[in-house]
Amino acid sequence: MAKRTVSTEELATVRRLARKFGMEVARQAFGDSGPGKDVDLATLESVAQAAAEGVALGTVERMLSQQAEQFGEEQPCPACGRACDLVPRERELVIAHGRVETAEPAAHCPDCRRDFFPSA
Amino acid sequence: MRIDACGYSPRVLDNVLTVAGELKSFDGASRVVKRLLGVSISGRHVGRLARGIGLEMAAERDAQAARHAAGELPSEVENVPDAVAVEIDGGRLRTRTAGQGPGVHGPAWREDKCASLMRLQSQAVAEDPHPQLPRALAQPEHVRRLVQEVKRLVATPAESTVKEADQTVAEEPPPFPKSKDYRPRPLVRTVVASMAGSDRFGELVAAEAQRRGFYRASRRAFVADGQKCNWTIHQRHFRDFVPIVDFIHAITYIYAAAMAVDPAHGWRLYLEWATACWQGRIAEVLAALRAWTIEHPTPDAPPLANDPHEIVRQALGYLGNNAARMDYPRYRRDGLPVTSTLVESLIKEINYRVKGTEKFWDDPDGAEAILQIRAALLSEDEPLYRFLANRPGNPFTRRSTLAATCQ
Repeated sequence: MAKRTVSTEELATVRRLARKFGMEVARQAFGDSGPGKDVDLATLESVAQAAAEGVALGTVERMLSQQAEQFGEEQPCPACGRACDLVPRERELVIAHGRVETAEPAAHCPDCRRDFFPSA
Repeated sequence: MRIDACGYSPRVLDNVLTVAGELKSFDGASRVVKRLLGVSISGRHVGRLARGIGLEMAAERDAQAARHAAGELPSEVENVPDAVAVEIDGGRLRTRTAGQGPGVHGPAWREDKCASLMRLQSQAVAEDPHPQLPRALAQPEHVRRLVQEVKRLVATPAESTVKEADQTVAEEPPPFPKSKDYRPRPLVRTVVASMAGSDRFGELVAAEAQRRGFYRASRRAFVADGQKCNWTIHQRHFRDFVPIVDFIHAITYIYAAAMAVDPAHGWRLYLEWATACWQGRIAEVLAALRAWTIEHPTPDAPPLANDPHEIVRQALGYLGNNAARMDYPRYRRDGLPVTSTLVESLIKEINYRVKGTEKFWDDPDGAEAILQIRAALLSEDEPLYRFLANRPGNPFTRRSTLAATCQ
């Protein structure tokens, strides 16, 4: 299984990448010449906030999707061990920057007569 | 992946529970969460989350205590602390009988217990760094306020007697120069709070002390007021910690006794006895009180309220029982605390959330849960987020407790 934690250095690299992306966001929002003098700080901040939310949601959605794929097509029931088919189940998660839609793998064990969730 | 049954990320849960534990009500928390985080969550749901997670934290704490009892709990700190203090005290909150439907059924006052575990920054020195009674404790108004705060524990002289005695103070010269700060500085604090009885509470505090490596510290103090149950905890779990009775509690008894035995010169007597106590000469105070009781035998009639005999009897009992824990010059030389003011202040911080008009907690789970949340927020090593980020998952319901709360 992949490592569980991300090092401080790796997080710093991610932060630098996102900062570059932020500069591109600024260009997209106000063009190459940037915002005019009549644009106040609250407006600038709202653009940055939207960018931060978008980056956060996109990042988490992508990573969750990649993790879900790693479970394969079936998983053993945690109680009896019987291999059960996994099906994606739509679910909304609330993260610090908004809500993400994810397809959480779920299975039903006919022997135990209950659902289980390998992502727990 | 540890995806929560309610669909909240650990960071969101941390934010919601932080607000729930810091504000006075769950409805207020709901409004703040909506405004600051943009998350719509009802006050009732905030309350259910706090209860569910609080009980999970209590279960983890209990498991930690069980590992400690079995000798299997390792210390989590790498650097052995130099000086540490464990301070304990109790507060009170209101409860209701659980499972009786809406409204308050079976209202009652119950005691909650709190412990503050602190690393200290201090130095041991050869000479007493502050042999004089602190300036604040030689100021009549300040002392009277202190006594009034603690007076539910102590029989105090009649108000008129105290006022009369205080009038003599104006003639007194200013007693001492401003106090130099000799007190140890608290560094990192963690908090244990519970509705558990005294025996069980001692086990929980001992486990936390073990986790933080307190038993390996060079200088260790256990500070509390003179209640017997506190010293039972000390004997069972902190036997090799220096036992220290809170100096403030001691002087409330001294003040009451001084005012009772000599209303005309009570303040002067208080200064004399408080100074003796501060300087480790409590035996002299006890001797003076015993001499007074011999000179003034207790009348045969039942004691009246504010009877000087009763006040002196209580002071003799308290000071006599705790005399061995009142070697204050030694504690100051060792860089240890001489008061339990830090845990007293902690109790107020806990009360801010758990005590209030029309605030009743389900007995015992509702109260236990909010105490865990509040204790985590008042601890300085971020136990709440650490817990949320590492909660064990349940593949069937993901979170056994929360699954029920999220229906």
